[in-house]
Amino acid sequence: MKQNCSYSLENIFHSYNDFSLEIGNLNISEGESLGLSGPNGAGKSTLLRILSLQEKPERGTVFCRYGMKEITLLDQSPYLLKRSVQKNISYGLKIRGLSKNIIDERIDEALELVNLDPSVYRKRRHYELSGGQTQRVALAARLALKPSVLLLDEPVSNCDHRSSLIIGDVIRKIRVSGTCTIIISAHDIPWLSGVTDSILSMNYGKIYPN
Amino acid sequence: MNFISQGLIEAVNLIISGNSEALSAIRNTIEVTTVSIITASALGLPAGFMLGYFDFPGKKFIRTLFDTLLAMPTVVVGLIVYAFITERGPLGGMEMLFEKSGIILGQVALILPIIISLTASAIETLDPRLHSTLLSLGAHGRRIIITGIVEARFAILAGLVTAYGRVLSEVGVSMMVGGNIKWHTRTITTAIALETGKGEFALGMALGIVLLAIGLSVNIALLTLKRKA
Repeated sequence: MKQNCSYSLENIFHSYNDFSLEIGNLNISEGESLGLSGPNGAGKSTLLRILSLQEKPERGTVFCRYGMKEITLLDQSPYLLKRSVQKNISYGLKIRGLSKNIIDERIDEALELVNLDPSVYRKRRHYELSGGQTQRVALAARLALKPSVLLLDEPVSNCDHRSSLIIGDVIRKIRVSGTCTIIISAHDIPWLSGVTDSILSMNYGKIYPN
Repeated sequence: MNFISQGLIEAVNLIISGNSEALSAIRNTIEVTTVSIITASALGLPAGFMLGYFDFPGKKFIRTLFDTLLAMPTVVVGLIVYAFITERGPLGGMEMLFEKSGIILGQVALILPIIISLTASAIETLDPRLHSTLLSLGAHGRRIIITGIVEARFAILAGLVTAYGRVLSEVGVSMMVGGNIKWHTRTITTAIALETGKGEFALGMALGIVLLAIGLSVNIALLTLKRKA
């Protein structure tokens, strides 16, 4: 694995039904912000699941600098646990054994980052949120973990314009810090180019030069 | 009609006066049903989760088996448990026959399929995105099981209420394995069967009212829990 790389992918092949993902070699640098564009069924979500280490490819090797707990994936239509916003955000933090004070700080910090007022939203139940708010709370739950790799699968596809702008701003802030490798899939290329360093095009399970 | 209303009045009087025979049956019922539901939940919830969450060879057969056992008559369960714990049975040395522990064993055998089957159904209806979400947040192993059960808590609670209702109302197991021994293993249902047969209609009715009250209290407690959750 190359130095300063978060990921090195070699000869990846993965298939299900009549779809197959084939990637020769791909290196993703530490702190890089990479966009994946392409139509539905291009293989973006499959690649993200492989990068999240939740799914193993049938063939090929995925070298990753980080363990699963340092990588987090936000699905296209995220699921919130059937509990309050603060419990959704604290879930992953408790797994990491953080103290109550730090958890409280991280909840407020993450909610403020996604432009949701902690005093209003902390106690809200999952069913009291709009689609855009759900997306932002789910993103806040990932950001609170302070991951080394943040994988976002079409994070604005179900959002209104305001939520899209907020999520874009959040990604830009994290990108500037340079401490997190960010990989985002999206259809909206102008939006994607505003939040990433480079974009790879995908189609029929393959990566094409942009 | 007069007979029923008179029986009802006498039943209320018996409850108010704290009839010691009735109190003993009530105490036994609460004791054995509580231990039974706790033991069966401790075994059945993780087993139901595994059955509903994971795919493995033979899963369909096991599901069908547990679904079939849902309709198992209580006397058949009583008969099987009796065969096991009678002196000549494989568990004869444990001296559980005509003891509360024997009734508990029988009741656990009776409601375990209910808890496993209904928990598996509740888990199967969970959102498929849950697994990926939990992995993304760093959950693994036992934590995934616990969170899955918590996420399906309302459906699982409904299953536990159903199981408790079954254990509270069964006569077959308590009668065959417990022996309906006065002051010792007599429960509300076996007492109702016996007293009504003896013509003590009022005592039978009093115990019936208490049985309904216990069932109602459990339902109210679970509804309150649900509202708070």
